[in-house]
Formats: sequence, structure tokens, C-alpha cells
Amino acid sequence: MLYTGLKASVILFCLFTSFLGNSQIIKGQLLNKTTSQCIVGARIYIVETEQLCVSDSTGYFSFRQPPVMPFRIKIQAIDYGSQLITIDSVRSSFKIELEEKHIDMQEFTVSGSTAQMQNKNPFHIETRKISELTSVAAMNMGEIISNIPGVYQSNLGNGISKPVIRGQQGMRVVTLINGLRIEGQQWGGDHGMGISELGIGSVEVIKGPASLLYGADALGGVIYFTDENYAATNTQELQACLIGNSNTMGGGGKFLFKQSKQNLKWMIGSSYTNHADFQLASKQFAKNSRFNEWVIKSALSWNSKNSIHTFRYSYVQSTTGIPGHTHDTLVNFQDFQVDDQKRKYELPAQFFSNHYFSFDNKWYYKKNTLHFLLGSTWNKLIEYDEKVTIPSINMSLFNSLYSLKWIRNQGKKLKLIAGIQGMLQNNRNGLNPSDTLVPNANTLDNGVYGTIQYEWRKWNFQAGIRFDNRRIETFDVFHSINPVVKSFNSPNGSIGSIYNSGKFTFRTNLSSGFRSPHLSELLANGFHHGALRYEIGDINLKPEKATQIDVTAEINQEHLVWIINPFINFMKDYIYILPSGAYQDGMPVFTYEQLNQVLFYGSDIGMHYHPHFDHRLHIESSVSLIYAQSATDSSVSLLPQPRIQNTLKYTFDIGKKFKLKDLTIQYAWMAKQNQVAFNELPSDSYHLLHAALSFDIRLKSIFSCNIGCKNILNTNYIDHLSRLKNIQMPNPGRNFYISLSYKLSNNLKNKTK
Amino acid sequence: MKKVVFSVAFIATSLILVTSCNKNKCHECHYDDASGNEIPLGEKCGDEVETLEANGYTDTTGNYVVHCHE
Repeated sequence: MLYTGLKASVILFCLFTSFLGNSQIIKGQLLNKTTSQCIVGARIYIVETEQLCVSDSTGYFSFRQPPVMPFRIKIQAIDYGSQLITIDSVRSSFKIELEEKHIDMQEFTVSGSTAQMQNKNPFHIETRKISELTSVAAMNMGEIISNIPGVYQSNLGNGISKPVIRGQQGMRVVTLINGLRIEGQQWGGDHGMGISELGIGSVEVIKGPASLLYGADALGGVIYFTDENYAATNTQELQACLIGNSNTMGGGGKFLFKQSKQNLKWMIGSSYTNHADFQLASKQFAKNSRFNEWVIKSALSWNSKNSIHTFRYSYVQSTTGIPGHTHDTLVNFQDFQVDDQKRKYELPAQFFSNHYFSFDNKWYYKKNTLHFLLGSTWNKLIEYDEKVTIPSINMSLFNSLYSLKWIRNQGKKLKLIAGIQGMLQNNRNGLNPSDTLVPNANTLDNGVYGTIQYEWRKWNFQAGIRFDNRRIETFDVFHSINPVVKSFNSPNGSIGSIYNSGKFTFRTNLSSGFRSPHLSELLANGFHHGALRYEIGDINLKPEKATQIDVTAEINQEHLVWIINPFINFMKDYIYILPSGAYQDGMPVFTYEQLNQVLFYGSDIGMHYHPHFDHRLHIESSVSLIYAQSATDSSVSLLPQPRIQNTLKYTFDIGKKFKLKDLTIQYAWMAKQNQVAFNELPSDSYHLLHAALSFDIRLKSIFSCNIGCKNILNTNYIDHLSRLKNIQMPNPGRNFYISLSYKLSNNLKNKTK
Repeated sequence: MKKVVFSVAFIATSLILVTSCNKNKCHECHYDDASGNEIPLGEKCGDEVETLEANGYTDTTGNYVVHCHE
């Protein structure tokens, strides 16, 4: 399968490279609308060709004429925010006048049916730059995105972290990188995301069902990561960074090299992190919470006359200790909190590796755009429990997928989108594991969809329908169950509208999603050491279905933005895992069950204040509330705690050789969680305070330095979603960190001049 | 710039090679006898560890599951 995919990619590569074309150079100038002063250092990104250029000291920039008309340019400049401008006539030069903006809440999104500004999108998508989310450093990607309202993380120490969107996690959340769906046995609570921060530029989060665009499983939400931009045209760039943490006596290093010519862009990078056991507020250490991670990332993109093609390959490998592992029926939780901090690998441990390939193609015609993506992911998950040579679990998941999307611009107001998507998954167990939790099986998905977008005055409307089929086929007799073939079908749809007057935005949408039961839920029968339980599936489970109403109201004033985003998500045939009360070799037995109806509801409320008296000050606050109500009982577990997050950022311009840049203070309050399922314990409230200071050291080159402290108050707390809660293991205590970054950029020989 | 790129690539490659795993690692092994006492088997290496963990330890009193440690 892999060979066939690669062969196809090579043939396509040969076909496309023969069409490399030349076109004329377009020059533009950026000016302040009020003062007519030129805008220096703005980043100008051509959406259709993914070219990046930077405005010079006179506000000028130039780029090669894209093959399609009209085309869109996204401009990002400090104090001017993000703006998307459509160029709809052929010209060799133009001027763009920008108005100053104190607060920029309108991001450009790519995870919707088409790439567009958020203020024209009927579906609420949270878009954040990774650099914004890491103003206070984080240990892993799950922690980074948990700064987004409504998004949480469920972690097993520092090494394993999973995203939680409005209380949904695991198989109910679909994760993508640049359109490639990531499959990494995410059904397991102890199986991480397999995504590193290296080279990732931004993240978009769709909260709630999104099966229209992403098919089966997109029931709780979608997380869509996008790579950093390539280097600006005709430049090359080297980024390097080192970071150290006191809490884990660990850290890491990374580098990323980028080079861009007119028609060819590429990047390559690698990172390594290594952390010992984390320290608790009590000064003891969480036994076997150590981990290390290797990452390699590369991308190659080339433009032809009317198309753009990108080949990407990434590799992520992690070795993670599994804390709190025991087979004893009488467990003393204090045994897992030890006085010595260790780094050396010991059992039990998880080896997690992922290869990600994708070949992304876009063709632009006068009124049509065609987008074709081929991709594969290969995940290997091995857990060693009690023996050093015989794994307890040894699974391979090979996933091949395709996506074909056609976009037609019918005039300036109407857009039609249609597509087909498919995925073939092969789940295979290794030859020698002591346990096989899920059987060898193939899963085949196919879906077809159509969407229409219409713009009328200050309104934008969107509606779409989709039909999906999932077929699951197992091989061999598995724990006395004969091979099975199951097929699940589901129609889905969504409809939404947005009104945007500039000062006021109102968005409302209704969307549906479905998720067929996973192999583990249907057929599991074995020890799941990472989750510390024995799991038993149910072959008769039905697919889950969800329907959500989501409303967003935004008030945009010059110095203040308010957002309120309530939702109601009605789920049918909700699948959950329930402790049976029995024990198997010292481990509690859990069975998969199904609830008829569950209602999830809540709201995200946000505020961004940028006072007129001091434009260096930014204050952001958000509140996330999630509740669940079921018709029959209270079996919905792991509901996130209500949360208030506050961020205060003050920018400076002090010093020359030692230049102070900004100070960030974050405060989070997690309320008590009393909404618990059977045998689930409530969680206490807690406060967290973090702070970070960033500055430049200007020697012959510029080094950026970031120092900070997480959990300044050394709060001893256990998060409700922590997988270590069942052994009463607190989250990490105070952590001081320091990072040093270096960025070198220079021009290549410019053939356009 | 080229020197910088090559230097970084060289360091990265060296690190990968240096940290590659060693398949002939040795481990302290033991088994628990019928009375639950831990009986050490000493340090075992390579294939011997694999065989012991797969087949267990057999003596006149029976066959026992062997555990080895890092």
C-alpha cells in the first residue's frame, strides 16, 4: 500500500514539475490610511500560491503574478491586525491603505470548507498562533492548545497529553496537520497526540460536530494544525532554540531551516526533548513520569503554471514512562511519589512512533479550484509492562487516505463546494505481545458531500449535506468471537449564517456528526496497562450521533472585544466505559456501555481589553463552562472543570543591547467539579499562576530569551481530567524555565530584479 | 549560511547515531518461587533474556515466570 502511494506520488511529481512557469512581477505598497506613512515589515501572504513576502523600508513588496484571478493576499502588520484583500483585476502595481487596529480578533481560517476570514465564516472556528499560545512555555502540544477557551487537556504525566473539546476526547476528536488526518490509536486514554510543536504555525479548533467536512468521528470537534509559513520569497532562514526546565531537570533543542525561491520552497527541521520525572509541590517526584521525544519534519512545495504542490513528511517518536502502574489489589498511592528523580528508562513504558506522509495539490482555474490530497500515516504503539523483551501491547496502524474537493465561484457572491473523502485503516497486532486488546482489522471509510456558500450584504450563509459509510472487517477468531464484518451509514449536514457589521458579529449554526463504535469498543477483551484497567467491548454497540446548535455574538469596539459562545450538543447512543466492580489479576474490569440520550451544554465567554490610556497593555479573559445531563443516569465521566483564564501582557521597548520585550502573567482558576459519573471522584478547585518575561540580547546577532515560572504558587492540585487522578498523583509543582532562540535570515540572489 | 546548515545537520545526525539503542543490553532477572520468595537469576544478556522471559525458568519444582529489570 505504502509502495503504491509513493509510486503515485513520484508520477504526479514528474507530471507537475514539467509545467513550471513564469509570470510577471507585481509590486505593491502598504500605506497607513490616515497618515499615508509607509508600513514597514508587514508580512504579505499570497493565499493561492502560498508565497510570503515582507514590505521593505518604503512599504514596498513584490511577488510573482499568481496563475489565478482573482487572488487573495493576507496582510499581517503590527498595529494593523490581519486583513484579507482580494485582487480581482490584472495590474502590475497597486497601493493598499490599512487602518490601525488596536485589537485583532479576525483570523484567517483554513479548516472550514474554504479558506476565509473568520468574520465571514458561519461556523465558529478558534484560530490561534502557536507563538501566542506559548508566551508562557508548555511541555507538550496538548498543554499549548488547552489555553484556548473550551479546550482542555487530559494528560498522563508530561509525556502523554490528549486534547479535550467541550468535554469530548479520544475517538470523538479528529486531529489534522495540514489536512492530513492523524490516526494514532487515540481511543486509549494513555495514547498521546503524536504531534510536536516543531514547525507548527497555528492551530484551528472547531468545537462540536463537524462531520460535514471531516466525516466519521468528528463528533466532539476538530483540531487542525497548520505549518509555519515558508521563508519569504528569495530568502533563507535558520531558527534554533534551546530550552531548560527546573521541574523535570529536562529540556530540549530544535532547529528549522527554510529556503524559498520563486517557484520552489522547502523546510527541514528536527527537535529532541528529554525530561526526567516531574517534581510535585511536596518536593517529591512522580515515579516513572519521564519521557523523551524525537521529531523530524520536512516539506517541499513547488508552483507550476496554475497549481501548487506540496510533499510533507514528519516523524515523531517518543518513549514515555507510565506512572502509577501496579498489579497489587491493595495499592498504596504514596509508593508512586518518591524522593529520587530518575531519567533512565524503566518499565512500564510506552514506545510511540508516527510517520506522516502527505501530498497536497491545488489547481486553480478561472472559476474553479480543485484540491486533491493523498496521505498516509503509520503509527506503531508498543507498551512494555513486566518483561523487557516481550511487550504487553504491540500494535501497528497504517492509514491511507484521499480527499478530493472542487470549489466553484459562481459570481462574486455564490460558491459551490463538493468533495469525496476516503480512508483505509489496517490495524495489526505484532507477533509476540502478551496481550491483544483489539483484533487485526481493516476499516474502510468513504464519504461524499456538497456545500453552498452565499454572501448577501452583511450576511454570509452556508449549508451542506454529506453521506458516509464505514465498514469494519476483523480477521481470525478473537477471544472466542468469530471474524465480523460491520457496516455503518450516516447522513449528516450543517447550516449556518453570520451577520457582520464590523462592530457587531452574530453567528449561528446547526451541525451534526456521527461516530461508529471503534474496534476497541466493539471487541476489546484484555489488559490495557496504560489505562490501568481490563477492558471488555460490546459487539452490539450502535453508532453515536450528535446535533449541535452553536451561537456566537461578538461586540467589537476600538479597545474592547466581547465574545459569548453558548452551545447545546444533543448526543444519541453515547458510548462510555463503566467499571463493573470485578477485578482481573488485580486490575479493575471495565465494560463499554451505551446511553440513549445525553445533553451537553455550556458556553465560552471571552473578553479582550486594550486600554486607550496605555496601548502596551493587553488583558484577555475567558470563561469556559460545560455541563451534561442524561435522560437515564449520570454515566458521563471526565467532564472538564469550569474555568476562568486571565492573561495580562505588557509590551516594552526598553534597552538596546539588552532589550526588554514583554511581560506575560497568566492566572487560571479551575472550579470544583461535582458532576461525576459512577465511581468517579469529584475534584477540588485550584488556582494556577504563571509568568514569563521575554527580551532580546543584541550582540553581533540577535538572541531571543524567554524566562518564566509556571505554577508560581507551587499549588498542590489534581486536575479532574488527569489520568493520574486514580492514583491521587498531583500535577507538577513549580517550574522555572529558560529558553534561548536564534533566528538568522538572509536574501538569496534575486532573479526577479 | 551553508556552514551553519551543515554544522546543524552534522550535530543532529551524530546525536541520532549516539543515542541509538543497544540490542544486547543486560538485565537483572528473577522469578518468584511457589512460596512467593524472589529468587535472583543474576545478570542475563541478549537472547538469553528473551528466552527466559518467553519460556520462564524451570527447575525440579516447576516452571516459573521470569521478570527482568532495567
